[in-house]
This record gives sequence, structure tokens and C-alpha cells, in this order.
Amino acid sequence: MSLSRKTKILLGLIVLINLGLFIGYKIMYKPHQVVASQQAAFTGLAEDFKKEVAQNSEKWQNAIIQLEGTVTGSDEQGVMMNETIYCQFINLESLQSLSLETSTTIKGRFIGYDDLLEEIKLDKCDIIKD
Amino acid sequence: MKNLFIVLLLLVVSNVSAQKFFTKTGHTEFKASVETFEPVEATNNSTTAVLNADNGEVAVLLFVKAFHFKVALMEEHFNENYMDSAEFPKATFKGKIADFDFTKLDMENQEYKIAGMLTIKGVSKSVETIAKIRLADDKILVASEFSVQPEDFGIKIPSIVRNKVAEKVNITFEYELVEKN
Repeated sequence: MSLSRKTKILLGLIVLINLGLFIGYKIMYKPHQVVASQQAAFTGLAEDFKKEVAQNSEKWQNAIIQLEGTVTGSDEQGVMMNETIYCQFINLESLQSLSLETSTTIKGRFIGYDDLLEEIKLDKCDIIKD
Repeated sequence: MKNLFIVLLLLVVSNVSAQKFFTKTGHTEFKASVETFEPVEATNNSTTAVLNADNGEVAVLLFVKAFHFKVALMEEHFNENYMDSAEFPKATFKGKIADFDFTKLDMENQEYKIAGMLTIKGVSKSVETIAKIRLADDKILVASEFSVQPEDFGIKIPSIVRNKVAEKVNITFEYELVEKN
């Protein structure tokens, strides 16, 4: 049994439309970027990053940053690194493994320089283990 | 004698300095959804708010890029096409809570009028709202909502999506302020 020409065109069209819908859906609902799997735009000491931000904070907007420094404070949602870098965590459980006055490496997204509190703000933070 | 004078001076200065309450993880949310269409709403959990408990002055600062949308593409469009967040990374509010008296706060919600200047995308506009304020342990809880029109801040909604975005954007916020040492 062979399909008529009309049926073949119709089937082809259905396949194409579905493919189009599928690609459209993928573009519309693409996933959020995950900090952990992204290359850091700055990797280094927290103190050095402070100098970078003091020079030009706009340059680092939305950039993924990996910093090594000392935990100097903590609250319910994050920790303070080297007195003036606030790191807000996604996973609050990993936060508990950090203790004050210890050295650590944290990766997160730079959201900006907070001039009300005179702090650098990172969110989506997580601890990087060697 | 000189040392004693310095100690006294320090005591006086520290008493004069205002009692401040603050948060850096305040919750700010906006909704511009229209029924039957994809919800247009986002939350920002990194809002900084500072309250001077002596005179009721408030300052709020949030980074536009820290707004989180359910749909990643919507977040991208919000930042790039609507808010221009690379050029205007911050949105701020500076104002005052009318007749604020810290000593009169208690565990029950009380209503206070907050008025001030809201700056979004470099455009400032005066806004006012009624907020519910109460004490919880050692924290001051402030919650309220108000609405703004995107056009007032130079945010253009293209005609092609005009019927999918509400004319008025509702902003709600909830800040848990702790005392600043």
C-alpha cells in the first residue's frame, strides 16, 4: 500500500510543525545558567577583587567570580568574606559547614557594589572544594 | 585627664549616632501578569534596606539583575530590553516613615505611611504607600505593596506584547530588619 501524494505532504507538514514547536519551546524555556558549571571571570584573592571593584565595579556586573578569603561573619542566608564581601548562598545546608575566621573559596555571581552598606554583593554562592 | 576626656567624648559620640536597622537579603517582588498569559513576575531576595529608628528615614537599594524569573528567557528580555540593567544596574528608594516611633512598636502590625522617591532606570518619581510594621524578637518587620506604571520610568512595552503585560505593575516587599552594630 502506498500513500497518496497528498497524505505524504500532510505527514511531512505535521513533522515540520512539531519540530518547529519543539525548537520554539526549547528557546522559550531554556534553563537558567548554573553558576557551578560556568567558567569564572575572576579567580583569585578576595582582597584583590576588592581593588578591582573599587576601580570599576560595572565591569564585573553579572560576572561569575571565584574568591579565596576569610569568613568574617555570617547570617541566615550567607557569609561575609574579608569584612566587606557578602556572599548569599543558594544551598543553605552548605553554609553550615563554614565557620568563622577560617579560610575558604567561594564561587558566586557578582550583583553589584552596595553603596548603602559599602559592601560587595555576590549571590548564587557555593563553596568550592579543592 | 586627657584620656578620660577622650573616653567621655567617645561615649557621647556613640550615644548620638543613630540606631539603625538593616537587611541585605530583603524580599522584593513584582507582578505584571495578565490572566491567561504567561505570568510576568519576578522576585529579588538580595534587597538592601536601612532604617534609621530615630527618625524613620529609610533607604532601599536593589540590583535589577538579581531579579529572578521562572522563565530564563523572560529574565534576559527584562534585563536587556526593558530595564537596560547594564546601564542602570540599581533601583533605589529614599524616603521616610511618617510619625515613626520605635518605642511604640509591638508584636502587632501597625500601619504607617511611607513616602519618598523611587528611582528606576535613572528616573525618580515620588511614591507613597501604607506599610505594616511590627516587632518580632529583635527584628523590625516591614511589609507593604504599591503599584507603579512602567511608562513613568521610561520603560516602553512594545505593542506586540502590550496585552501580555499589565498596565500597572504591583510591587510587594517584605524586609526583616536587624539592628546594626
